[in-house]
Amino acid sequence: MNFVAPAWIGLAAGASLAVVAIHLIAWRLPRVVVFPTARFVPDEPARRAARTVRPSDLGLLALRVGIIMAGGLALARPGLDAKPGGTALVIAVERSSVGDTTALRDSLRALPAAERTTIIVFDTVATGASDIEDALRLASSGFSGNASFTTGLLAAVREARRLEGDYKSVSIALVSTLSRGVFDRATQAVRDTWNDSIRVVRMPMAARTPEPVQVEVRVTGDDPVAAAIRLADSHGLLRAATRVVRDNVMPDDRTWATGGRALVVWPRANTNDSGRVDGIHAAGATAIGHFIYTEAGDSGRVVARWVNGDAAAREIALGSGCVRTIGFDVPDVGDLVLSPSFQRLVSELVGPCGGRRVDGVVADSVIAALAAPPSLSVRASVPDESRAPNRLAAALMTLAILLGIVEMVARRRVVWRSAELSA
Amino acid sequence: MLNAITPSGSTRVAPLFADARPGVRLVVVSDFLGDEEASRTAVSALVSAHCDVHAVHVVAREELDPDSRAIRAQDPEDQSIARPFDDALRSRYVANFTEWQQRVAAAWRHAGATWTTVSTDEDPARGARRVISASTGGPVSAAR
Repeated sequence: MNFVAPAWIGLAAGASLAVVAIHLIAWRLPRVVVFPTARFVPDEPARRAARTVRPSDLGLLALRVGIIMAGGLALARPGLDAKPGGTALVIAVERSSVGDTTALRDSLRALPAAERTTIIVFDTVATGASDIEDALRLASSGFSGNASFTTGLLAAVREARRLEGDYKSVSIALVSTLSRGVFDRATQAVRDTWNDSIRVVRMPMAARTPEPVQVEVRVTGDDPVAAAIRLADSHGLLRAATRVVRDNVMPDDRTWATGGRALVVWPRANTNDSGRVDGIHAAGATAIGHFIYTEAGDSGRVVARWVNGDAAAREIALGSGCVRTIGFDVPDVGDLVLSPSFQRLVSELVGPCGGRRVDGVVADSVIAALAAPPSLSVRASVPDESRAPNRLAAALMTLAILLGIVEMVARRRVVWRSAELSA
Repeated sequence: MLNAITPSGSTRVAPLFADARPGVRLVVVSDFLGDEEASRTAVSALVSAHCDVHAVHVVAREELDPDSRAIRAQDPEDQSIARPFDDALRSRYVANFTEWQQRVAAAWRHAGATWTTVSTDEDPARGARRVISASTGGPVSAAR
């Protein structure tokens, strides 16, 4: 048996000794004795109480010592497990790093052997793998198109913390493309929760097949949005296979989108829809002009916002593709749709699912900061799995509480007994 | 018969002497902590009427030689008297009690009665013999 906080046992033992000492030198009022000649006793006030060193109420004493020791042992967090030994390795593999399966397999096998190896495959969700082959299978299937380094790092740190109770040495290895798109503002903060260094294995980014640029616009009659899209296409701003539907959405439109393409539902405004001069921002494009408000829905990822922060367009994943709903229209008159700012806005709104991809690898300094242990001043903490409920400690604390209840009953009986003796 | 009696409360003794006929022998067994003075006055009148009166003062051994342990002494006849009593007060208590005992004994003898002190740890037969000896002019001494 080992203890997480053995100091509590010493404190409990000290407190028990103090209780025993107090019990042995308990002060008590003198016994009342019927004494017919009491009138001849000089009538003076009591100057002191009687002191007794004769142990009494040993059961009560035993209960009190038991309460203190049980509570102390519970706070010391006892464990029946053997002392941790051996090594463990947690590997977090980014799904998008599986461009070359052979290279990924070799990289995983090149990592130092450990008695226990846990592999986590992540994109925006972390999934556990049983072995390298299972990890390769998971990594090569079901990539959502986006990856979050923070997700993988957080899962790896939590798993490493869990293993710390069983292994003497636990290390983390991250296998990733280290592209800028997988980092976010929480990445470094999550990294700082692991106090040791992290082995970072950089994988080449998978060769991306250029997506065919083909924007279909289904519209009837003269339409300013269709004009803007054609103009943007002529300026080379479009970069995805997208279908823009200005009228009713057909069932086959959704089927078409599930194949990894973007279906843009951009309904026409009704005659009674209100409009005014406003601004819309999407990704890196902003357009200001006279817009007509329509309904953008209330679910899905916001891909464009009005100046006041309200959603102007939302995107919902559909299979490996998506459906994007635009919540504004432009008037038939005016030259807003001809402006370069509106064409850039349109190019973002009819862009590929998941938004603009950030290509390129992060700077070497970022990778070095990721690999090196954090300085003491920035170390943070995550919920420690080793502080998970300890059943033995809980049982001891329950025992202490039960003994406390028994002690209260026993103490009351002792008081009653004393009162009876006094009477 | 006396052993079966549990003493409690306080009873006035003096009115009982009014029923005594002249010339009888009367033995008063008491702790004399109640209406001692009224009893003594009544006994004095009986002695004048040729009664033979013997006062037997019954004292508990604990009252003569109290334990040194601290207690809270409670008078059973007067609940208002409850006093702390320990070894430091023992000598003054004994002095007070002895002085009272001597004073009362002298007063009863002065009234014409004999006075015998009997301790609770004394053999009753021996105590009775001492009372009889006192009535016939023999030595009167408390058995220890």
